[in-house]
Amino acid sequence: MSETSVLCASGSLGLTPMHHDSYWAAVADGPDAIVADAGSGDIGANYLGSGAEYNPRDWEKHDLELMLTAARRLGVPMIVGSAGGAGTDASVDRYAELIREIAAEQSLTAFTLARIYAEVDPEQLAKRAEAEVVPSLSGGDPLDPEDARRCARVVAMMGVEPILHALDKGADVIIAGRSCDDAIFAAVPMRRGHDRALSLHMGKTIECGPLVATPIVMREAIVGRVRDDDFLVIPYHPDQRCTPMSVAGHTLYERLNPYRLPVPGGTVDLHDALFEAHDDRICRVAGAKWDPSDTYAVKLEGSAFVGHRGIFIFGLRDPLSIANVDKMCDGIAAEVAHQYGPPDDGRYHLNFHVYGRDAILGEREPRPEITAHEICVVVDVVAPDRDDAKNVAKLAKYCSLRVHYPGKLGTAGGCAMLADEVLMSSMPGHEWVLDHALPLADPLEQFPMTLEEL
Amino acid sequence: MARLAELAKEISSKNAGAFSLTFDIVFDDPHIYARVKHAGVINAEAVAAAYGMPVDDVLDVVEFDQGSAFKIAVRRSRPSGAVGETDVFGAQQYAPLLDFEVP
Repeated sequence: MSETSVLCASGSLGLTPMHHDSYWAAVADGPDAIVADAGSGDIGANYLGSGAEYNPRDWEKHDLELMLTAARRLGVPMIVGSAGGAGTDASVDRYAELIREIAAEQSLTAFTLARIYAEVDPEQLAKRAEAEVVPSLSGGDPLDPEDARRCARVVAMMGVEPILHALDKGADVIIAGRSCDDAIFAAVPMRRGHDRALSLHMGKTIECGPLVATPIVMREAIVGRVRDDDFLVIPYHPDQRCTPMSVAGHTLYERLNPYRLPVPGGTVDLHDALFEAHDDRICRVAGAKWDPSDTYAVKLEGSAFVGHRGIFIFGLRDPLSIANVDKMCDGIAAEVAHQYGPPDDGRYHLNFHVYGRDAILGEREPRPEITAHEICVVVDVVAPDRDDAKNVAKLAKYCSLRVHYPGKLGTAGGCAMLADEVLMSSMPGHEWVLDHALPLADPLEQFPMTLEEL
Repeated sequence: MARLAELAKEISSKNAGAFSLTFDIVFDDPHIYARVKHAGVINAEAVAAAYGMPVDDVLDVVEFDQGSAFKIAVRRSRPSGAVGETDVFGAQQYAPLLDFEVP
């Protein structure tokens, strides 16, 4: 029986630093690859659009150093996907620079570093959308070329093929831009001849690391061991167990459908998936089947600038003020419109989030009544011009003190300010604009690779 | 009758991409899962009613027997992180499910 073990070093590289004990215990068992995903679409469009760094550099270097030293000691591939969180070209270069820095500090030599890029030029994408249909992922309209042109930055999510290609070319360390998380874990087992569906299902199962085990603890090592007809999910923290319930439950995570795992080139079909106890801490998984698609397409993520953000936060404690919160917000909005024009002309967006009533669910809140004795209002301003964002929020601040409603008693100032200032976000605001898949004639197309010897 | 919050081991919500939300309702006892499943109270119409959303915005309701779990997918009212949006990870959107009544 052939076996290939993949160590998930961190469920999210650099998000918080990896824990050492379970990691080195897993390394001692001699995995065939050390892999971590750094990315997530959850982190919001700002990081992709603005290029701002999501994680502290020290934490990223800490995790990369643990991975690199162990991978070189064992002589096995090290693979990192979705560098920097959003998987931009600049993040790939930044991680590669950290690898060079660590290699120099630790005197690690004689290995090949591959960088695989995932950015798509928005103008090139717009031209493709003019020439052919770039289909929606959710049954919506095909890609509008103008939506592509609005994007500050676009990335495509690479499948397993660019990773396999880098391994074929002799890469020992792979730093990849935006990647499918399952693909970076599946590459080494697939290259060693294991079943594609089983390898991808293993990858999806362990990509978040210890979230697949119970109880959930952060940043502990998990190994996926692919065999001929199944794979094992093995925890390394002494208190954690991978049970059929915890592993099957994790199959649900961040996915639309637990039975179908769509990836570039096809779908991993999990209708016949089997989860059973291998022993009291290791889970055995089998049954994934590969269902190829007619076309090979990669998911696109695009982020467009919408404006800078100014925030002003105030609280209300007087029951009459709370009862009149809508009148207060309307009064603020009226004065902003008087000074900065109507809200629909694009100069600014003004939103009031009433915490204590419906800020979190919005129009989907089934109980939009206020029962608390105090509430909080977040005045959320977004404007293309940074000064406008700040000044609209500043005007809202003044109005929140002075706006009138019937019976108002607190005439000295009508709200409790968290701070007498507008809070400006540190990076320009962006929004997601693409929900489309780009058909590729060749899975390597769009994902250029460079190799260097260290 | 019992509230879903008293029967489930986990009720959660999360982004599934920037434009959809996914809800997981997981039971640690397959018999309780079977009770909820046979009661038929978790369905697209009930989810739409709980959130006051059109039933077309409920993209999928899946019974996942292997995991003793239900998985619900809905369209977001605004994309994650869009102007005016207030739950970037979608992590608190499950709350109305807690009050589902199960015979």
